[in-house]
Amino acid sequence: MKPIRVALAGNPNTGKSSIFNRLTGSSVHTGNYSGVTVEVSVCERSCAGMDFEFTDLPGMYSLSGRSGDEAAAASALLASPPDVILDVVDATNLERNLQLTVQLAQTGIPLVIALNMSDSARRDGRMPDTAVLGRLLGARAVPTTARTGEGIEELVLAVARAFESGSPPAFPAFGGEVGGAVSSLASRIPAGRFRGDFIAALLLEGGEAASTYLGRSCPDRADEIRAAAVIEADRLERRAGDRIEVLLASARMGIASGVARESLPLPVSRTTGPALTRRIDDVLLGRFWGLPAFAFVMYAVFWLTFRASAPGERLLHGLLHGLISALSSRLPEGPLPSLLLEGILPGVGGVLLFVPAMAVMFLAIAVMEDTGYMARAAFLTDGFMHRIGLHGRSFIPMLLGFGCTVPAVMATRPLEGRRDRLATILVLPLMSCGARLPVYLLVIGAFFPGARAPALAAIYLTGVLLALLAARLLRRTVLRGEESPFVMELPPYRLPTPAGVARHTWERVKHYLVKAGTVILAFSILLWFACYYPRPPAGHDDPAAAVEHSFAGRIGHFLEPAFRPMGFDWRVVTAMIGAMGSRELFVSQMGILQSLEEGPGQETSLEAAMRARYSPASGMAMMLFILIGAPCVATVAVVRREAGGWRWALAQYAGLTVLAWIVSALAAQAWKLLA
Amino acid sequence: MAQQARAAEKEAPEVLSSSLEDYLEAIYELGRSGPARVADIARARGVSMASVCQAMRKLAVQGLVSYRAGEEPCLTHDGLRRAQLVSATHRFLVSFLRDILAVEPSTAEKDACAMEHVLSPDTISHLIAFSQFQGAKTCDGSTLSDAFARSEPTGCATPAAAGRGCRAGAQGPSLAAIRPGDRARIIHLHASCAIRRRLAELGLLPGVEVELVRKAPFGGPVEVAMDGCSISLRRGEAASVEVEPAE
Repeated sequence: MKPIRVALAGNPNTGKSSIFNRLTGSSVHTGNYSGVTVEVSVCERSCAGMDFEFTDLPGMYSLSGRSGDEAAAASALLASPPDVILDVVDATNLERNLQLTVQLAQTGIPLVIALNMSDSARRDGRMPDTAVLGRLLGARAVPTTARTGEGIEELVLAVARAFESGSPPAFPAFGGEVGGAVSSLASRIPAGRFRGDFIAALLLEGGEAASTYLGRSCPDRADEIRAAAVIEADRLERRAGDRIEVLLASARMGIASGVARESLPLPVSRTTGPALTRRIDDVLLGRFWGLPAFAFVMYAVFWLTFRASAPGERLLHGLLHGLISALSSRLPEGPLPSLLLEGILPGVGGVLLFVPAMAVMFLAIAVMEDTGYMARAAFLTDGFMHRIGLHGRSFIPMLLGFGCTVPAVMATRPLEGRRDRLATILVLPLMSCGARLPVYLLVIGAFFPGARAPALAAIYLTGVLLALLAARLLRRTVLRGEESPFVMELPPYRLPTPAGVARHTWERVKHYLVKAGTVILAFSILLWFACYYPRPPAGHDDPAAAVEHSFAGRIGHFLEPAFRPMGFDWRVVTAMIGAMGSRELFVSQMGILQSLEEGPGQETSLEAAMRARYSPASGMAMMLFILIGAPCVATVAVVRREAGGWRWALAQYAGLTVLAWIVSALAAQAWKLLA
Repeated sequence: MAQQARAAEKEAPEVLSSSLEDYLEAIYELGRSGPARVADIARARGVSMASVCQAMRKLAVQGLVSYRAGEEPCLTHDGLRRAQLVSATHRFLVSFLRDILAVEPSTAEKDACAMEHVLSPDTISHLIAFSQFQGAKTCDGSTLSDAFARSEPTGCATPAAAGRGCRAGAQGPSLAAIRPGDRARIIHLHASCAIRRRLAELGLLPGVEVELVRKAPFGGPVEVAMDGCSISLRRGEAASVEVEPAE
């Protein structure tokens, strides 16, 4: 039997993805700000003897949205009409949310309404009467609370019942001139899966998704109907004296207000947002404390990254070295033991040492995402970002870039302006991702042990400043013009659930663990091979000379002159080549070289070895080169897809690599001059 | 004469002279196959490049085109809508005259050019209804469609370019002008298409009462609270929302 296809639609940040996770047991990323979900996710589940196929759509305020995520939601809905629409409504903000519900009810597809966050709504005394709401809209309304799981089973039953009855929701018709224009246009649209009135209203607004739908459902008359819509919209604007978007939104708002008034308890306490959120924001967004508080929050993240992760790191360090020394005394000499002891263990293990630090940083990002601080960061920085030519909302992908560049590039989708979005994507690799953290921690531990948190904050800040400068340059040259609106909801603060934060942190940490077990492992073997072969002629027993004799040694020596301004020797050069695949491989390669050169039985720590070999100036240049240089393979792939073409991805790759060379060489030379 | 005409344009920004409408249409048509350069527009319209530049400046003042000397002009959201309307009307009229009334093609083209500027939208709407009624008999099924085939929304719509010009239109106090803690009722949205759409979707509609909560430092955005939610928007965007004080 074919599964019942259910689409989860609703305004941004109403908890669609949380409900989706509850319904399907999957773990789609969630957070307390608009635009977390940028892609359509599909998941199947059987329940009560029936098969369901749930589709999680990105949030949207209406079906004619212009930003990438909203357009994706609208076209997904129109391209493959679901059997049932599950409208997730924020019960604490009923009137605004119902505007989209009105639009969804007009589709004529069976509708179920999930009144989400009903715990908050009940507490505020604003819980709507589900019976009244259901009767007015001709659809079942189910109170839910995604964070506790309340109402999820009832929701599944309601969806099944809506599918079985197949009855469309009540049709909320527009009145007056808007209604006249919609129905006159609708009479020209042939019947299909969607009601003509719904398509007509979308066409009047100039919705791309509706235009595409029309081209597919009645290709021979599509152009004629499109032209009629443009002319009809113009006539309506002239008659009613306002713009079409405002007229249609007002018409929907009229119906939504009526429904909300009927179903909300009397007297409705008209509030201007939760009082606690207001009080917190008076400090966090205040004229005096806003920016200092923001700086403090960011610095606290770096401080915690060191402090909270130190015990875990020490423990792992002890375990790794215990393992290596225990094995090296028992295993014979030869290529295979060397692969394990001097390739895989220092390569993969050296990266795993820094997992506790990553976990702490990801935890901090998860807390910021779940509380609602992300949108505040965008609010605080927009004034500054706007002057640079970026968008306040660019700040959210930039913060996510501290986790990993790939999802951060995806998170640029809610940016409406193409050039805003491109500029953000192009500078995103300058945000230090989690993979760079091991490199920083290794280098800082070796050269700047006295000032760990400030040094880490400084390198992150350098990345941010470079990103802002680069964005300004891009917006002044190749990406000139065009700014997009900054109209964004500030969600109320919510207390993150420990389980939710733990899950978000774990999802990101898992990504690195999986990577360590696959990509890093494979590259470690490859790097070990390059450092081990060809073997020196018999009789030359010095392990250090053997490494210099290897492929890696020769390549490193060949390229060394190009990196002399930074004070890199051939070892660092090969590590930089390894880092082109993925950043952590810098640490892997340094570890492999160290253990191969030392030979079995020696126990110098990598940090001490680096301190002995290089100057702090070179150490700083290493961090800068890792920060800026050649984006990793995964980044190149996602940029190509999201920016639309190899052109941008390759330009970014070349630009950043050249910039990395210049900045790190200049910095190392300047340091030498000053010191 | 010219001054009078310019003064008249300023007073009634909605009315576009027929020649300016033709310029919009030309940018729109040329814009399909790449950027519409001033030289291309001049060639298409059979006029000098200087007159094109002058027309572009006029259109830029009205927020329909974003144009700086030395760059190719680009339609704004509002300009694109306007051009689509003109273009759709033109294509409809040509095919109506040619296919339904059987007017000779060259005459149909010429008359359509003249008619599109003088016929009221009402009349055109009725003509379309009539042609659909007729369509079954006279059209070969694809003629009308062909006429509109290329009127798909394309072109380089730049939402913000229109935003720049929008502030001048505000009549009363704007949302950016009131003080934090003050309440106001929205009267009209003067913003450009993209911003207007966003504001409307979020419920910032005429008649709605809002409170200005705070302004971000360094000329950053403002926070506006309405029943149940907080919304942030840039000061420039808030300046395009006309309000009246509410208690």
